[in-house]
Amino acid sequence: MVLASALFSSVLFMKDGLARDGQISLKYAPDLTIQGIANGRQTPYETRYIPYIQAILGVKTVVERIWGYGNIGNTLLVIVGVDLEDPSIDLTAAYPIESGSFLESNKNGTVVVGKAVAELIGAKVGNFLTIITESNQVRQYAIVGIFDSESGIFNADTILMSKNDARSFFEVPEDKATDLLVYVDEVDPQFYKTQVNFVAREISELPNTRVLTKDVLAAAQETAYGARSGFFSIVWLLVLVSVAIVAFNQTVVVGHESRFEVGLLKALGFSTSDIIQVRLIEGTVLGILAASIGIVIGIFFNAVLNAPVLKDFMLGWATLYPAFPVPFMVSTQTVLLTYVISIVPILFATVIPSWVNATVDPDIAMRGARA
Amino acid sequence: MGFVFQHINLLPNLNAVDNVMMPLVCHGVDLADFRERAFKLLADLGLSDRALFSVEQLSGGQQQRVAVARALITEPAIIVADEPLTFVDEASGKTITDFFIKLRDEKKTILISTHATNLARLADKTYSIQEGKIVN
Repeated sequence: MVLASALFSSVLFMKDGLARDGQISLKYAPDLTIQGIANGRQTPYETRYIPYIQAILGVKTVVERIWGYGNIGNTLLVIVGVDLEDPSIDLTAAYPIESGSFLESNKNGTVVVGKAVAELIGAKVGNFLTIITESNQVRQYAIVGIFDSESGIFNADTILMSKNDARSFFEVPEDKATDLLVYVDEVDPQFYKTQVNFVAREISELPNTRVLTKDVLAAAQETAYGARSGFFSIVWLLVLVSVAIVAFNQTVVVGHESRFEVGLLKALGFSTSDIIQVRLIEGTVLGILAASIGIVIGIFFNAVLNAPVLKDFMLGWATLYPAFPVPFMVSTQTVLLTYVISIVPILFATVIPSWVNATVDPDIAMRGARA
Repeated sequence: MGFVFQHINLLPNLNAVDNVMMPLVCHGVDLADFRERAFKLLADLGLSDRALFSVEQLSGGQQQRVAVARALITEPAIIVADEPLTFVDEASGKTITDFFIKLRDEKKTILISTHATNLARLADKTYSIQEGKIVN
């Protein structure tokens, strides 16, 4: 039961942590992300559609974004080109600087890296970062700042540079962008979704266009992590059922001791309800103990051991991420759920057999148990 | 009613004094109030130095003495003992017999089934049973 509780709580703590990280990333995401699609795969988006999108009722700003992956020391990191002329969001809020300074609009050849990235490559402000492009050109960038975001994943895999530097690095032509970020006008919160959905519908009329809203991104995250945690939940459920069956079996089928004990208690004056009450208390205490130990093990597994195997499974292909503290969150809901799923099977395995034994004549129970 | 079983029937996961106090649990009393009485009963039965021993650490005779103490903790009006000396050594048997005599002198009612004629002779009234019928 301890193992089942530890597995259950580990998975859910990590899922909750990943969900929280996802929420943080969505906090600074644009209202809509516009991607190009060809043959079912993402392609660079044509910037000639920007005036059309800008003219749609409700659209406040359209910003080009250039981003992609760079291989640094056998680790794939995300390189994001930010528009410093027209930021549209407060970049320093999304990427709060821990040391050094943020990018400046008149300076190319500089980068700001996440805290975990800096630790990975052993870099400090003032060092130079060397990255090789896909066409095997060597590019060097001065690290002017290190950010420490609320999102552990941002810290672990993001390098920021100017949009021009990113366009040059990824060799994206001037008439294209990796995707477009669309920000809608401020409206009453109750009308926000209606506004976003309207703009999304208008933009989706454009050819080879995929429109992602925050809701779609959130659902994608939930699907990915929910499905993976669901797989582990099945494994956990099998462990739990096995525990309950074994415990029940021990108590009923092989339970001479249990039967004798119940018979003796009845002979000493205990009523059936007294015996069930004793078993309820016993089972509850055992369940609470098992869950508590399981939760502690789960926290230790995530926080100290960094959830080996489980982390790789939950993050999927993102095993290419650099090593970073696995995001996990000890939520009240998960803790309570762990206690419930620990106590209920134990009660099932102890109270029911005790009730069955308590209805048998004490003398028969004691003699039969002794036989 | 207090019972003394032929097969002793102590709870193996409890020590002697806890076994003695077991019948009190279902009466809803404060066990702390009866702990001293449990120790006194064990002392009367020659087990004052064995009160905190586990059942496994007690001999058969000692276990049966614990069972006798258990039967008395609730101060029952009647004590029923089924072949109480069957698995008991001579010394423990004498201790238990003397204890029953003491209880009789205190006007307690004790019902004993036994094959031991020396124990039966100590009774105020004796009934013989043959083939399930009282013959004497």
